[in-house]
Amino acid sequence: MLIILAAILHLVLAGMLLEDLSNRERVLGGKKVPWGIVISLVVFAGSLLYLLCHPRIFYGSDDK
Amino acid sequence: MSGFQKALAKLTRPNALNFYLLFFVWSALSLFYYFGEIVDLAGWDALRWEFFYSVHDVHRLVFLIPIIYAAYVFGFKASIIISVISLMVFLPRALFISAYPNALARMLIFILISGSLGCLVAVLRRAQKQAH
Repeated sequence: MLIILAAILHLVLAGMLLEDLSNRERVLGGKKVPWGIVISLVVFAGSLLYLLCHPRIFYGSDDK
Repeated sequence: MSGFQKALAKLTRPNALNFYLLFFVWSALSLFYYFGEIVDLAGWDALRWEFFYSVHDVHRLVFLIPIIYAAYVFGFKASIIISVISLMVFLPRALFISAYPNALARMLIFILISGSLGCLVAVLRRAQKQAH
C-alpha cells in the first residue's frame, strides 16, 4: 500500500518538477541532467532539494 | 558586487523571503507532526506529553497554514506542491505508526479538503488581482 501511494505521489511531484526543469533556462550548478536524475530517482528528498534550490518554481522567473 | 552579496540580494527579495518562510513553517510543522516519535528517540522524558501521542487530526489541521499561505501568495501550483509534500509527510504515520482506526482514510480526506481549499483560495486571489 505504501509503495503504491508513494509511487503515485512521487510521479505527480516529479512530473511537475521535471516540467519546470525542462522549461527553465538556468539551474543551480548549470546542468539539467543531474537534477533530472535526482528528481526521478531520489523519492521525496530529491524533489524537496530541487524545490529548495529553485524557489522560482513558485513565483515565476522574475530575475531573468 | 561579490557572489555573497548577490546571493544575499536574491534571498532577501520579497518572493524569496515568502518562499523560505513557507518552507520553514512547513518544516517546523513536519517536525511537530512527528514530535512524539522524536521525543521517544531522543529520550526527552520531560516532553512526553499525551498530546503528542493522541489522534493526529489536530496536528494535521495546522498544515492548512502553509497550504493556504502558498495558495494566497504563490497560487495554484504552489498549493498543489505543498499539499503533495504534506501528504508524503503524513503517509508513514498513517501506515506504520497510528494505532487509531481509518488513519489512511482520515489523512486522505483531510488532504482532499485542504487541497481543494488551497485551490479555491488561489482562484479567488487570482480573480482579486485581475480586478485591481
